Amino acid sequence: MKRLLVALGVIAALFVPQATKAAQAITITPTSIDKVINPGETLTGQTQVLNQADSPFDYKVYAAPYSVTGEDYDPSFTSIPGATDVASWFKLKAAKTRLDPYSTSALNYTITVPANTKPGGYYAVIFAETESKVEGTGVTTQKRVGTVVYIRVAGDVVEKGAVASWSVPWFQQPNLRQTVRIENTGSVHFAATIKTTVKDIFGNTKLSYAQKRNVLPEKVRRVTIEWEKTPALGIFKVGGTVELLGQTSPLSTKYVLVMSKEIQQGLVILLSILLLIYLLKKIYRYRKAKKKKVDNETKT
Amino acid sequence: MRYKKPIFALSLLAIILAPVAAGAATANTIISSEISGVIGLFTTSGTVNVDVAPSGAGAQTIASDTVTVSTNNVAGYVLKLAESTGSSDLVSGSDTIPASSGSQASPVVAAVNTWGYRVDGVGGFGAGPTTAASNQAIGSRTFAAVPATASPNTLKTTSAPATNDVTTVWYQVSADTSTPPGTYTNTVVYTAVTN
Repeated sequence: MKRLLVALGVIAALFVPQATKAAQAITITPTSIDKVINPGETLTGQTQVLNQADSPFDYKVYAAPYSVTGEDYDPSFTSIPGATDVASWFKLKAAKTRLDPYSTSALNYTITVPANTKPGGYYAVIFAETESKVEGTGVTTQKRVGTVVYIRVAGDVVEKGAVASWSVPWFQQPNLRQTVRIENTGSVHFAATIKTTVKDIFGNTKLSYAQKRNVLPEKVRRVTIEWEKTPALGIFKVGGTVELLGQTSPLSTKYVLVMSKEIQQGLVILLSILLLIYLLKKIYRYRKAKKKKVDNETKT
Repeated sequence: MRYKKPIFALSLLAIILAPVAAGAATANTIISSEISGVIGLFTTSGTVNVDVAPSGAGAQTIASDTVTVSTNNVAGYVLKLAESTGSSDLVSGSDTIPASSGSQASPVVAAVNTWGYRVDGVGGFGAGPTTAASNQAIGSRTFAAVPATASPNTLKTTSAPATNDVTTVWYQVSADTSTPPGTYTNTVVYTAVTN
């Protein structure tokens, strides 16, 4: 029995490191870079790639185009036909191509903007991607994380944008939702700071939201703000501001009635009962009156 | 005895000046720490083993991969899945197991001699829950082909910082005895970027 336990212990000891070894965690920092570069100039900088797990891994770095589709900003990393190949402006050099457990590697980048580039916004992403080796039948998974690079090529750029819409339906089920759409009609990205508050009818602030989002040129960005701790029932006042390009646009105050599905169902049941009582009462009175009329006719 | 007075005077002076000296020795230290924006992607393994012992009617193995994303970005992150290479097949030399005919929007029940993925609650996959299976009869869960490199599918979009936010991706391989033995592999890539 003792030998069996020892054997099992040895087997476990052999397998546990292998299971741990397989785990991979790749991290990149920072998550975005925003730079102004003159046409014909070169800018250098550094990001970092980290291994925050127990297993070493090989990795590669490369730049890819960055664009978004839809108002929810679904990112895309492939070239758009006819668009400038921003990824070709990048030269990347990682200090290491293999990261040991809990180690960091510098990733130096050089961005060279061609001299004839028109002023405006250009976008790319620096990827760090693991290079897992194939181990047996199945699906080998590579992990990649990216730093989004916002480049403003200096010159005569158009900075123009506005709040396209601000929507807060007056009747909602939890969670309470607000939607702000911000439109960029210029030639370069800008950051919009959205600040909203949700107050109860007594003026107490229940939710205070403030976030900054980049909006790319010729795009509309929809930002949905959800109050996760919305109570089942209540009347709330929602308002705020959007700061963009040095201007503050107010978001008009709106009132919202929040009622959960359960309360709505309960209300329907209650109203149905009240209606039934009313109808029964009516029928009772009608029958009583009819009976009285019949009795009176019989007497006469 | 003649030194008694000067010693006393010096002691008194020392007592008077001591706080001044102590005051002169203090200095303010500013503690500064810049917290940088990070995004990290973690998986439990480099390869998801989906080994199958084929049967005449077709046997199915379903295995999962746990994808964990952490970021301090206030606007959250997007997680995508795509093929890493040009081929969507599981390949073993010249032998292949083709990808499912389904897509994330319209996944299909696994056909024999196909492989695919699913994420419960995403796209048209339905709520699940999917469970692991080994060499079982082909089940009713729906699966999709991993999309091409150029058109990755979005598995998750968040709008807040995330700490160890888990997405479970299921892979299935179904094979009958017409599939030659071998080590069939395909490489996919998970991408995480901040919003």
